[in-house]
Amino acid sequence: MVESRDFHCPQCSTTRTGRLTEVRRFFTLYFIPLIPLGSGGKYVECESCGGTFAEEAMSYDPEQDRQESQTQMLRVMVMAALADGHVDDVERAEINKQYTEIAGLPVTAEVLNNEIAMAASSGQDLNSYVAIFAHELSPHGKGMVVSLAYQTMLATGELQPGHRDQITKLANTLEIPQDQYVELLKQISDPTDEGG
Amino acid sequence: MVLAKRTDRVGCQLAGHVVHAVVLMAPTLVLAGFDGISWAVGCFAIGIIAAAMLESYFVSHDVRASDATVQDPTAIYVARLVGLFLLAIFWSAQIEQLGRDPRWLVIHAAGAALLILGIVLRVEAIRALGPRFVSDIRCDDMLVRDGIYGWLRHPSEIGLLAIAIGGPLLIGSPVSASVAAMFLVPISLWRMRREDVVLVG
Repeated sequence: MVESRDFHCPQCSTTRTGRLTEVRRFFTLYFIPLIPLGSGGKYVECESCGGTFAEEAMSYDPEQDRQESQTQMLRVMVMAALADGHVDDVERAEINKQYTEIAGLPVTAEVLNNEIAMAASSGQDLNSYVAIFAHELSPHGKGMVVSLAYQTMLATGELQPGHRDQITKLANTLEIPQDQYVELLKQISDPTDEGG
Repeated sequence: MVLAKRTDRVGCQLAGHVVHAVVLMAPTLVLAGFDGISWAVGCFAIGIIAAAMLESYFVSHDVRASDATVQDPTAIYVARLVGLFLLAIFWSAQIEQLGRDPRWLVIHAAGAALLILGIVLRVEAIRALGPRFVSDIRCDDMLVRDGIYGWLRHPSEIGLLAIAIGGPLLIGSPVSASVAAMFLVPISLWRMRREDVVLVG
């Protein structure tokens, strides 16, 4: 055993004590390990549920992951608002409303201004930004990105040409089939329409 | 880097098998030299070394639990004792057949068949269990019903018995084969029962 300490157990979904164990390979004859053949890697074993996980589970911090995810979603909204070249007050209010729904607390004006300034100077657009982490997203996460971006763009009432261009490309960036994407946009713009 | 490590590992394993061949055949080589290697003894040596090579090939491709996670140390000690006993039986079988005329062909043939059957059972058990093929008896393992385990409950123990009895019979040493059976059958039954209690219970 290499070490024993607290970690976030993915199976228990809470903090547990985990044993980080190194696996060693041996050349074995007659059931007797004779020649060490080096390390076969490490794994973490939860002392409560007995589940075994990759070594990376020991350093996984769900709180940090949640904060990073919230920052990503904030940037998605800022990039979406910036698709027509500027972020107006209505879009700011929409970003704040949606961010509060995700994080529980509103984003401060200072943080929002910083994010807008960073996004404007980054040279990236909504699709090039989303492409960075699209492969990590679950179907639910992809739907959330589309929803946040589309609702931010719709805050002013109608899509501007820049908005339309970015939201159209988002289907490809997120690898969502076109028919599913059209249905998703329909549901976001009219949540009461069940598609029947 | 990974390739270099893998090459080192394969080199270590090959060196280990060469040493094993010399140790296994020590009684014949010391007492009768290369002249003592009859066709039956040659087949015996090839069979036992092939069994060891196949077993180390299939097992070393998977991850083995470290000693830190051992759940049944008694099972490990007994397995090591059985290993040493196995080597002792292979030595005694060679000494037993030295200077004797070949036995009935049926004994040699039965030994060869048992040895091959044992190797096949062990390899199939390793392939079905993957990284769970260890000397330890672990209570967190699931009952496996894939591959050979769909047909036999304890293929690795039966395979080991077949090798331990078949090897001596192949070179015409029925006394050593009988001693192997008398010693290993109770131990194998003990291990099978222990596994059943842990896995089924």
